[in-house]
Amino acid sequence: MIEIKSLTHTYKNNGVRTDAIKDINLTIPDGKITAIIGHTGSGKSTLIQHLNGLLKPDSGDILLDGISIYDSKKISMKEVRRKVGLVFQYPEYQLFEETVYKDIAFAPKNYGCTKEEIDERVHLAAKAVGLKESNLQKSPFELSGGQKRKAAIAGVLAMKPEVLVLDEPAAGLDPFGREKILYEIGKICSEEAISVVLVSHSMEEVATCAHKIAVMHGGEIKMTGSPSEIFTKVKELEQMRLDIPQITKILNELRLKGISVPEDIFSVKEAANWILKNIPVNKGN
Amino acid sequence: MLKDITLGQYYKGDSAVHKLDPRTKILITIALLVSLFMIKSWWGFLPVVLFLLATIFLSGVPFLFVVKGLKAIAVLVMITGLFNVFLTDGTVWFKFYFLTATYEGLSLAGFMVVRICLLIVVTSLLTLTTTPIMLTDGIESLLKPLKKIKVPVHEFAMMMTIALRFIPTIMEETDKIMKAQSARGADFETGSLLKRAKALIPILIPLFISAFRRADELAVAMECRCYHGDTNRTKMKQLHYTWLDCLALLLVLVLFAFQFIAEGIKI
Repeated sequence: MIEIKSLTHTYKNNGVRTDAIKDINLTIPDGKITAIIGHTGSGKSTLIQHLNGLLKPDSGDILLDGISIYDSKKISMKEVRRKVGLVFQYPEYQLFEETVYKDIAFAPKNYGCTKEEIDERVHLAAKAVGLKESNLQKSPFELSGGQKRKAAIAGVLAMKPEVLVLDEPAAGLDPFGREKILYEIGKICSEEAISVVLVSHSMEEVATCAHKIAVMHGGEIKMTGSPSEIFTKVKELEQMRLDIPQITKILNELRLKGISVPEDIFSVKEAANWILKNIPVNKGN
Repeated sequence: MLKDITLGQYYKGDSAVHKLDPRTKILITIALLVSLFMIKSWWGFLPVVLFLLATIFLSGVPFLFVVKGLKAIAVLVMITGLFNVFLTDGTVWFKFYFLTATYEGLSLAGFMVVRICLLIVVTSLLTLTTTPIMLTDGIESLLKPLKKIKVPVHEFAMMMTIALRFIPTIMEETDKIMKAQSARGADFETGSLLKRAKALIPILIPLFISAFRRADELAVAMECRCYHGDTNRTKMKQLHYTWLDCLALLLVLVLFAFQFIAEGIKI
């Protein structure tokens, strides 16, 4: 579990100060997917770079399982970075080895794993992201965009992190690749018992998989809650230049018309099924 | 850490120095550089130092910001100094094993150090007060006569512009890749020299790949806009000499007159 306590970070550039994040308080629960949503420049990326200590805050603290990550006597920064695996935006640009296998092995090697351990971790990580065995001996630059991204995520998973933080994991992928990668992330969360932090600017993307949503705007967290709680606040979200998923909009309209649609429907498929089952078709119209 | 490099960085401002035509500034810089090499006595430095101090004051660039650029060449300056102290013949100052320091060497070393530092200050003043684009425009315009003998001046200037334009982008990219690799437990700060050199591989390979990708994308984008190089190309911002440039050139002439007099002073 990660607890973020009144975290503030200010960028200083040639004497100009910009508050990137202000007084952030957030708890990231174990074994769940937490989504951080905000439009470009809302401070999401700055916030998550604090989670594994890449950036130092001006004030505030982060507790990882109750221990402050800045307390070098109790936990080393290297260990923090292993426990909290951070996958940057467009992670495929960090691939550098001759083969995908070697690239995934980079992190476990840095943490001094034995050869057998490395081998085991590489295969497990590749399997977890849905990367075929036959791709492991290829050069990472031969893979397609979606596969490259999977390889890069596997490179972080191979550290066996307790928390996996992903910055816009689906950015720049086609709709099919997008859905697939989000599906794999959901699977990783439930099967490997890893907590996931998902950063995105699209509600559509996180609606179906997130358990908890935190909405950021102007460097602050404006609201947190379950998807169904967040999606009722359409007006506030629109003021923050965010939109709720289209299907949720339709269901909200139905609710206004007096039809009691259950709160936990977020995907188009579920909604279609429910509507077909519960709303009678009027043949005369 | 990467942000500490002042050499070749522009300091935003609206001073008279900033407003000078880049061609004037380049010519003055070249003249100052040549004069620095011609100075033979300590007194000769005085007018240049005063001139530079006045220019820094006028430009509004913080003095410390200019001096920070010297940090990058500290090692070079030290080595030059040491070599001169120990390898010049003359009256013995002290002996250290097989090395002999001389008074003549000491004076020569001091001279060299001052000269190198001034060279750096002069050139960084140029880049601090002139945007890279203006600089290449100025160079292109100054080198125009070479076109007569078929030197591709415009193409050179374009390559320089592109190179300068991408320095900040690539620095940003380096920072990002370093962070991404540290997130995977890479360590760049500890270990032997060999280990640290090896630790650069995970940074350099992605950096080169993305640089090539960018170059490719830029080339395609330029072709899409029918870029053809020099022929029939006009400029959005034309360079014009103003009375400021005349004044600056006059001042430099006065400076050289002073320098000529100062050189004559015997200690």
